[in-house]
Amino acid sequence: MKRKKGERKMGLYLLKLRLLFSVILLLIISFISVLPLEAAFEERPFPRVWGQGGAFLTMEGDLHCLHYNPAGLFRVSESQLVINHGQLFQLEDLAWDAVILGGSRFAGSYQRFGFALYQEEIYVLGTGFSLRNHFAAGLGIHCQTLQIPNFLSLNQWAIKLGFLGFIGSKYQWGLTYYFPVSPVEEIIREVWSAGIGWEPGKQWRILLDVIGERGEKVSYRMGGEVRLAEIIVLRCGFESSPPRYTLGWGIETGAGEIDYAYLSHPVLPGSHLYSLTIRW
Amino acid sequence: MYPSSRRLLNFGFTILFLAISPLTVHALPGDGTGKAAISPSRVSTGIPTSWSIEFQGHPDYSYYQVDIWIPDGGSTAGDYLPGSRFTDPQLVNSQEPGYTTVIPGEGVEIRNITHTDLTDDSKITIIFSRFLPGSGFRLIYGDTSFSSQAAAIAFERGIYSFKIKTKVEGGTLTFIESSPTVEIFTPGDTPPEIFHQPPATTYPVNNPITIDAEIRDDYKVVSANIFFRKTGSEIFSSTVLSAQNSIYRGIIPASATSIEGVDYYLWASDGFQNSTHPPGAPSSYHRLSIACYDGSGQTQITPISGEVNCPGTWIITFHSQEDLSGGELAVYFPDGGKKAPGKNWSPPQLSDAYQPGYTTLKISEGVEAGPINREVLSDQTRLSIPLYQMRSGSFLKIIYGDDNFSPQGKVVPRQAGSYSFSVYTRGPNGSLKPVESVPQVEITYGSRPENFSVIINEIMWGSQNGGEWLELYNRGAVTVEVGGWWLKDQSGICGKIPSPRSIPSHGYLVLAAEENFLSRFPGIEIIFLETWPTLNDEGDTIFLLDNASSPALIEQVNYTAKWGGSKLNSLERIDPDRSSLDPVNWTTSVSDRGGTPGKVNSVFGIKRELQICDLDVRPNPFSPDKSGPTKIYYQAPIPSRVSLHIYDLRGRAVRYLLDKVERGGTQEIIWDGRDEKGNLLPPGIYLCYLEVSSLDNIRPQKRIRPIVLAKGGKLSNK
Repeated sequence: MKRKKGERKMGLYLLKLRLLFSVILLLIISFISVLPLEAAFEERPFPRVWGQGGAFLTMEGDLHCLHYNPAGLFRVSESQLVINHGQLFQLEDLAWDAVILGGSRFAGSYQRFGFALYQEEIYVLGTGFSLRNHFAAGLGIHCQTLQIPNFLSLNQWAIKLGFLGFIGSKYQWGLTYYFPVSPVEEIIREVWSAGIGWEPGKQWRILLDVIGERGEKVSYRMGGEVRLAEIIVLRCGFESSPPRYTLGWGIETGAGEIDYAYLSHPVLPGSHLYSLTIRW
Repeated sequence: MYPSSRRLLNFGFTILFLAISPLTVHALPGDGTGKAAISPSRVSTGIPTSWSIEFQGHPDYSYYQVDIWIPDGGSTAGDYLPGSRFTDPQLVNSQEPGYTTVIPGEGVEIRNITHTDLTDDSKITIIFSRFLPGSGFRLIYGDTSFSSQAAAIAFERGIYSFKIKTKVEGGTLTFIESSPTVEIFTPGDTPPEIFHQPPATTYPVNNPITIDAEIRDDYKVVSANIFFRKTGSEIFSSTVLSAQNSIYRGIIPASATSIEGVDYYLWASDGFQNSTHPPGAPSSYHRLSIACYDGSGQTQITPISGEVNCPGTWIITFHSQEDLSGGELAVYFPDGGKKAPGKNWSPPQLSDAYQPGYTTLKISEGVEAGPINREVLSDQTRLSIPLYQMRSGSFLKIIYGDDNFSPQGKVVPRQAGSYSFSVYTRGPNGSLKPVESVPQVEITYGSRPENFSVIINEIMWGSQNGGEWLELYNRGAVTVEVGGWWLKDQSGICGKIPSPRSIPSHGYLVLAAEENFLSRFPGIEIIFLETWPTLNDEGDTIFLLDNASSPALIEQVNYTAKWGGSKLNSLERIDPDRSSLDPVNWTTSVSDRGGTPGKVNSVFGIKRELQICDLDVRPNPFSPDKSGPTKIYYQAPIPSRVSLHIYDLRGRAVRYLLDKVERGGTQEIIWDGRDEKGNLLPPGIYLCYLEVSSLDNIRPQKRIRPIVLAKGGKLSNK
C-alpha cells in the first residue's frame, strides 16, 4: 500500500529532526570539559529490571530502557514518572534514589547515591526512534558527578548507543555500546552488551543478555516475567557475575505500577528495591 | 655263826612257813579277771527297765565264783533303805526266768546262786561247777521276759557301779578291773522352751527355707523336730532339727513351698513325758508367705572379669526356675547413669528391638518378651523386660556390647572395680525382688594405671610440614615407660615405639614418619617408627595401645578434617584433661611454624567462646596514590578463622585479603586499592567484608564496612 505524499514528507521531517537532535547532543558533549578519569559509576539496580535478573536489552516501551537500551524508548508514548528507592546490601550508607520522567520517545532521569564520604549523582537523557520496520535505534547521554570530600570532585560524560530489532512477532534482539566520551588517561570501561528476547504471548517473556565489559569476563543475565490476573507480574532472574538470583513482583493498573525486587548474594546480605510508576 | 646253826635256822623258817601256809588267803592269777558290761547304761528314774549284765570270762581261766553287787540300797539302815535306789533284785535261786535270771553261756554250768542283802547293796553270788576259759554268762536284772512287772526301777538319780568280783577255784574273790556303771537321771518337770521368731521375709517358691530357733531345757533336749506342710494341706511332714549348742536349725524343703504359703511349727522333747506339746499339730502354727516367684531365678555373667579401657562383650544369662509368664525381669547396669554417663562402663545402647544391636536380647524357646524399656537412673541404667511368657527352665540372654553386630559395639569398662549387674524378677502380680545370685564382674587394670596418663596431644596429618608426625604428652606425675607401645590407625597399620623409651612427667614424645621432620623442626627429639600408620587427610582414627599382654587402649582420637589442622598446620589438643573424642577439644595450631612438637600447644587452654568481633578502616576515604594504602583493623576472638574480602557495589569480590586461622586480638591488614590482578580499582565505594568463625564452625559473625576509594592528585575540575 502506497503512502500518501503528505505522510512521506512528515516522516522525512521527523527523521531530520532526530538526526539534528543527535548532532546537537554530540556537539554538546564534545564541547564540555571533562576530567580524564575512568568511569567510577556502577549501574544501579532498578527493581523492574532486576526483578528479572537485569536482562532488559530487548525491552521496549518502558522508561527503564533509558538506562539499558535507549532504542526501546521509541515505543514510549504516554507520559510516565517512575520513583525508585533501594538500599544496597541492607546498608544504610548505601541508600539509592532515582526518578525517571518521560513520554513520547524521550526520557530523562536523575539518580542520587552515597553518604557523607561519597556522593554520586547521575543525569541521563535519551531518546529512541524507529529507523525502519523491525528496527529501532536510541541514544542516551549520561552525565555523572562524583564528590569525595577532601579528595576529589568530578564529572563524567558517557554515551550509550542502542539498537533494537524484531524477528517476527515473538523475538527481539538488542545491542548497546556504552562508552565515556571524556579524554582518558587510564583504562576506561567500555561496555558492549547484546541480548535476545522471546515473548510468545502477552502473558510471559524470557530475556537473555550478554555483557562484555572491558577488562572483565563476559557475564550473563537471564530472566523473565509472568503475568497473572492481568495486574500481577512475577519476575525472576539470574546473573552470572556475581552469581546470584533475583526475584520480583509488580502490580500494574492503568494509572500506575508498584514494583519490588530482591537481589540475593552468596556472601553479602541481599538488597531490597522498590519503585512507583505513575502514568497519565 | 656256825654253819650248823645257819642250816638249823633255815630249817626252822621252812617248817614255820609250811605250818602257817594253809591258813593264809592266796590270790591266784585268775582271780579278778573277766569283763562285764551293762545295758542300758543310762536310764531315767522311775522307768521300769530290764538290765542286762554281760560277763565275759578270761580266755585263760575257768572261774569258780562270781559275786555281783546290785546297788539297790541293801538291807540295813544308814542312808540307804532296801530298794531305795533300785528295786530289790528279787532273786530266787533259780536259773529259770524270774525277776532276776542268770543265763549261762556255753561251757558254763552253775552250781548255786545266792542272794545276800548287805548293808547298802544286794549281793548275788554265783558258784560254778564248770566254767570253761573264755565262756561267759548274762544276768538279767528285772527280767521283763519273765513278767512285765519284773522290771527293775531306779528311784534316785546318780551314777551307780555294779561291782563284780571273781575267783578261780582255790583263789580269792577279787574285783574285776572295771565294774560296769549306769547313769540314773531325773528329767525336769517342765518341757523344753522354744525361742523362735518367725521370719518376716517372704520367700520365693521352690526354694528351701531355713528356720532357726533356740531351744532350752532344764535337763536336756533329747529330740527336736520341725513340722511343715504346704498351706492348704492337712498333713504335716517333719525333719529333725540340727543343733549347735542351744541353736537349732531346720530346713523346710523346696518341695514343701507353694505360692499359697508354708505352715510350720517346732516341737521339742526332753526324752520323757515332757515335750512342748504332744506330737502332732499344735493349736497354732506359723505361716510363711511365699512370693509369686518374685526374685526367683538364677543369673550368670560371662566373663566375670575385664580390664579398664579394653572393649569387651558381656553376656548376662537369666535362667528361670519357675514359670514367670506375666512377670518381669529388670537388669541394672552399673554404667554411671545420669550422674556420669558412661563413667564406669559404656551405657547399654539398647533399642527395643530384638535384632542385633549394641545390646542384644536373645531368648530361648518358651520365652516371649515384650518391648524393652531403658531407663537411665542417677547412677545406673535399668533395662526392664516384660515377660509375656517365660516357662520354667527357659533362659534369656542379654548381650551387652554385641560384637556380632559391630566391632564398635563392644562396651568399654572405664574404671577398675567390682561391678554388680543386679537382676530383679517378679512373678505375675508380684513386685520386683532381687535375684539371689548377683553376677559380678571384676574390672582391673590390665596395664599400669599410670599408663593412662599418656595422651595424644598433637597430630600433624598434613604432609607438607615435615611430613606426618604425632606428639604424646604425659600429664601424670610419674615417668611412664612407653617402649613397646603401639600406634595404630583405622586401617589396622601398627607402628611400634622402640624400647626403651619413656616420657617424664609433663614431658613430650614426638613420633614422626620421615626425616623430613628434622629440617622443619630442628633440635626436636623425635622417634621414627619403622611402620607408620598413615594419617588420612580427610580423617582417621588413631589408637594408642600399651605393651601389656592384652594391650590396653590408652587413647583414641577419631579426628576429621573439620576438627582442624591443614597441610601446613597441625591439629592441637586444647585441654589435655578433656576427652580426646571431643571435637571441641581440638583445633588448628596457630603457631607460626604450623605446629608445636615437643612444646606446649599454641592453643593450650584457650576459650572456645566467640566474642564480639569488630572492624574498622582507617583512613577512609583513602587515595592509594596520595594518602597511601588504607589499614583495615579487625578484632577476632582467639582462635578464629578470619575471612576478609573486598567487594564492589555490584557484589563482585575484587580482592581476597585474608582467609586463615588467627590467634586473635586486634589485627590489621593493609589494602592498597588494587584487585586480585594488581590493577588499581576505579574510585568508588567498596565493601570490606569480615567473617569470623569459631573453630568449630558455629556462629560465624559478619561485619561490613564501606570503603571509599579515591584518586589522589586528580583535582576537581569544578
